[in-house]
Amino acid sequence: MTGTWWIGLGLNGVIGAAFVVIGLMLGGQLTRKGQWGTNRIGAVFTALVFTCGVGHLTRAFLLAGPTFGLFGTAGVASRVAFADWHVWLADGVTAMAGVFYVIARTRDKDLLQTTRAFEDFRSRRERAIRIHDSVVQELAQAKIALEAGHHDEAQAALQEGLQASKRITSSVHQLGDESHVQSSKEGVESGG
Amino acid sequence: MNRAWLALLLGGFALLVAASVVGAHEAHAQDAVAQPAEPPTAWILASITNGVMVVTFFAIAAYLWKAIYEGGQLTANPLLTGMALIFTTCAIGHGMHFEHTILPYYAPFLGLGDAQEAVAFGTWAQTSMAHPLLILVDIVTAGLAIWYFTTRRLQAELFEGAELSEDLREREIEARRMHDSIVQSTSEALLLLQMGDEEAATEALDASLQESKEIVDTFLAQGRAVRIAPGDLKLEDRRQRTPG
Repeated sequence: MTGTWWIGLGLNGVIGAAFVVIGLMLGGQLTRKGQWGTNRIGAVFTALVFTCGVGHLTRAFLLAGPTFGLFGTAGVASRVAFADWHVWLADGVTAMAGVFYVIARTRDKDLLQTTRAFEDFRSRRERAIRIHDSVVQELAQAKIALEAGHHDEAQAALQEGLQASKRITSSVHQLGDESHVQSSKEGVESGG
Repeated sequence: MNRAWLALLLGGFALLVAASVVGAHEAHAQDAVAQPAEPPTAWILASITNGVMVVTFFAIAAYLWKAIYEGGQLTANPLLTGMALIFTTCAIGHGMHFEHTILPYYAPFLGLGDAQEAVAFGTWAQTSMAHPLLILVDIVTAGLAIWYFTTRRLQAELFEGAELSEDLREREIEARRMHDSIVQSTSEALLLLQMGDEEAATEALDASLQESKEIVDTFLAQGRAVRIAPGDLKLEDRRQRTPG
């Protein structure tokens, strides 16, 4: 009945180790950049992944416990519960995905230095499209109008481009410490 | 530092493989332990926390799969796909634990295989989840999952797409670059144009245009596989203006 619990032990150990490593990677960047207090989402996500790892490691210890006379009935019960091949299948895929993620992340030099779990290319593309649509197009139109001698139209396009770029800048910079950009922003607003 | 993480992972892996091999040799040793007649009632708490994890993890996984599907990122973005797989299988795994704990209550009514065996298995599963340490970790994990969702909803404006966590420092640098290059030079061009210095205004405008194109290129390129479909970069909301 419980003869295959050791597969659950191995898989939970791998999952636990992978999740703890992911948590430490993200947590290390949060510490390095001093964002534990300001980046609440990053901090909570890191803690979530880390405790998931601790949970799987706890399960691995419970499974291993009876061998060393530890955990009593709970340990034996874990061995019974983890002898189900359905559980291995889910744990097996999680373990593979966890190890795969850790290896892929360590290979990504850019992401390794950030507190992001990954980068969504789609949102990156959408940001590019937004800047292109609202800023580049307006500036190009202003340039054409200027070359054609239509100063009023050039000014209107420049105004539009300026407003759009300010809007995008402030949307990019929604949260966090705004003090870094505040001084130069004030300079532009007084100048523009 | 990265090598240390990998060493930790591989070390842990080796240790657990060794423990598994040792365990395989005495796999049946615990069969003699009698099944508990009544599992500790704490299993109810464990069952609830697992239920919470199932819902939250599936919700996170759904975000991620949606982004993968809509952005065609299945093979192009391995970290996103890896994270989606992790959350999906975690949700399934915790779903199984949840299901096993309630097995004794529904198996007899649905006639699932040998009902008596199912009830016995469910009782073992309840007992296995009732260990105080495991319950403590499960409560913290479920609490964090709920906190994560609540906080993320409150800070929704920070997130674009399926990003699970952001780097505020990067956002700040990005904002500063946009501000210092595009906003500044566009303001300068506008001011110069209003002052009648057409030549200097053109120069400032060229600089602004060049910088904004470079920023767009930065977002699109950097050696990453991003699919641009025909018409993606067209002006979507062109305002009609009368010529000056």
